[in-house]
Amino acid sequence: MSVRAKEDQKTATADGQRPLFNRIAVLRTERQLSRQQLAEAVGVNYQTIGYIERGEYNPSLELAFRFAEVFGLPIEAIFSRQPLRPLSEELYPRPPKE
Amino acid sequence: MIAPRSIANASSTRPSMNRALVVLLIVCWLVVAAQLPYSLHGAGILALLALVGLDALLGIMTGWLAFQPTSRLDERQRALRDRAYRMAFRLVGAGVVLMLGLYIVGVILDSILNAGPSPSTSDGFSARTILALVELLIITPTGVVAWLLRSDSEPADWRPARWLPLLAVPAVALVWVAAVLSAPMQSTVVARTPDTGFMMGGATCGHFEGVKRVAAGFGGAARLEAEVCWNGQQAFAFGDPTLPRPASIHPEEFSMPIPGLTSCATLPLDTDFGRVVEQCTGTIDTDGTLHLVLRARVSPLPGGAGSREVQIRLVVTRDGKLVAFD
Amino acid sequence: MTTGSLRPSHPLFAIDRVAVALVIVLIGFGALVWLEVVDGAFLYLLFLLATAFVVRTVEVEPGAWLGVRLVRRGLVVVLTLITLDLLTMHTTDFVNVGIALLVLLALGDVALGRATRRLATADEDRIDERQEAMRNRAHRIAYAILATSVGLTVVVAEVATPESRRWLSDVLNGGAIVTFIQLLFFSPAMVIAWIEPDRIADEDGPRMHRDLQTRVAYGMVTLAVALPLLMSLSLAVAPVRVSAFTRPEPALLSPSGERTDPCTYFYARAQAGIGLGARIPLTAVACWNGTTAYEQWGLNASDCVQSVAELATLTTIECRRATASDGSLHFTYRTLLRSPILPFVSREVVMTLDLTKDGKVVQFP
Repeated sequence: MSVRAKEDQKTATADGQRPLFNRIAVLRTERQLSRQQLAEAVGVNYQTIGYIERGEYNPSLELAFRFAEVFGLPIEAIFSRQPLRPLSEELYPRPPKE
Repeated sequence: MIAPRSIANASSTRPSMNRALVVLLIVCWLVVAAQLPYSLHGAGILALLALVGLDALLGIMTGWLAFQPTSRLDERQRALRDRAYRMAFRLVGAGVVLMLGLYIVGVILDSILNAGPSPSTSDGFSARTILALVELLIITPTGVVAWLLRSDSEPADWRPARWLPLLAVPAVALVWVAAVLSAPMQSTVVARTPDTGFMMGGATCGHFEGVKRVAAGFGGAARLEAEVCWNGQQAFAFGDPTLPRPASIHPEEFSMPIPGLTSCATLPLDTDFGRVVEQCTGTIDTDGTLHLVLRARVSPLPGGAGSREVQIRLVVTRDGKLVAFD
Repeated sequence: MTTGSLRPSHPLFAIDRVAVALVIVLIGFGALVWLEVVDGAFLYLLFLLATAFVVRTVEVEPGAWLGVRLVRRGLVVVLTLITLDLLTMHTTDFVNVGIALLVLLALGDVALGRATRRLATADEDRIDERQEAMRNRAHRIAYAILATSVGLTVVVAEVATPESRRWLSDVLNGGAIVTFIQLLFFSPAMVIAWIEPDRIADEDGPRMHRDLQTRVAYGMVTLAVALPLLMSLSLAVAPVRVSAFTRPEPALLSPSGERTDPCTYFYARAQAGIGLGARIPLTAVACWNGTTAYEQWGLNASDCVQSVAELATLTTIECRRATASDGSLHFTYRTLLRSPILPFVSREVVMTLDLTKDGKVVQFP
């Protein structure tokens, strides 16, 4: 088994998938949405929102697109296989120190 | 190189082949699970091997998806497998209810048509029932996967190694032959004295039932049932006019055969996996002791090969003391 | 796919209909059992089924307590222990002690349904993709448990020894059926309760409306638990209902043509408890001739075993017939009834027949 696969196993979700990183919690807070409100908007149970935020469940492609529609952002701005940097840093990267 | 058209043709016929195998499996299972025919007349092993062969085929056609560890499946396969197990869970429940219903129907039909002896010993499940139950539990998820699989979901794999699981058929046959030839026989004896269900003037009676099974019933069984009475002068078996009559009993009273009292006949479930020929002989000693012996030949294999001699012996004194029952 | 919690969509169970139906059921239940028209245990079973039906229509949330995985796992362990205890129980013990365990098991299953929001049996259009994946995964694990436990038990017991075959036949007549039903219908829910992570705090979830339908459902569950206890208490509290009559027996002629002694036919039946108890009959014919009163039939020791107990244990303490020095006949039939659910609740029922040598009935029953 490769090193990457071994690392994936350590942090796998309940059904053995590699966890995805996401900005759901941040985006929800920015838009002052409760879990219940976001759940109703994307058509899932509010518990599912919580599990996605905690990285314990990876949404399907269709559900990811629904998140993108609700937040008005591309999917890659919401989900990533790598740890996500704050959006402000991605939009306004700090100039390198001289 | 395999031409694209042949791949498409092979994959498009697979759903129908899979489903045909599932239907065939269900038919074979129903023959085993149903109480009709009452006896398979020694052909039970053929039903077992047919089921094993169909199981292996279905497993091969589905890539053994139902038994694969999660780490070796992609998300689509995982979803299909888990969905199949959910459906299989319900099907198993329905299957058990169906088996119970078939058993009840069989008992009713048997009482209407045959009016023959019925198993009164606490025999538990017959070998046929165990086979049906185990088959249901093992293969249902694979059957559901086979039914649900799309035509292009699994690539055709015609390597010879893929067909190795079919060797399970001869392997099971060899294990079965070894078991019926060498496994020690299981003996169940039940004595109920006095027998409150039967009374005879001037005598006390007891009911005796003995069964000897070859390979836990998967090789046939021999059975003896006897209503033995004693009156201080002689012990005798009642209900079978071919057995010795004591002097104290009137010939007319003794000549009437009474099914369910004394019987040296097998039950249909005893001959599912082997042919059985039984003979009872009885003698009453000068001291009034009854010696009743059942000799049977159980032949699981065709042509009488590998047959085993079975003996059940019942010895009761004129005072009702049970000397031997084995 | 749903937008949130499982919303019942059964217009048949409108609030007013449920309330009216419940009142009718309760009144009818009490009347039918009191009038001895139907069996109390059968009606209780119908009430349990109705309760399960109504409860299923009510939206549930586990709450802060049942939402914790550790608590849910404890519940699963308790249910497993009760199921295993029922499996090894013989038929006789099943009637006595098993009833209490069955009630506990039913309660635990209701709590299990609430803890898992009845995910195991929810329709596909009421759950989202995560819930569906979890449900299917739970069924896969539960299938492995069911197949292994049932298959291995049956195969090993049937093949191993004649004693194991006999054991299997015995348990099939006792708690094994309950065990199998528990595995078949509730093991997926038990698996979900075991594997589901700690739930998100409820304050963020949908507001739960304690409407009348919910209150009715909770009331029915409470009643379903309380009824066996109430029926047990009725054994000690409710008056024993006795019906009795006597009539002269027609005089017979002896072979020589003479008239025999006059006789009286006695019939009495005592019913103790409501829905749970026993019916104790006394049927006899006694005669007298001016010198002594004597029994013709029905006052022997073998006549004291004809009582019918309904979900209660019945013990005969005394069954005695005696003739006094003045020629009068005395018969006493004393029984002790005990509830299997509340063993400390018991009731003694006494049936007595005192007949003088001149045919005067001093006491009956």
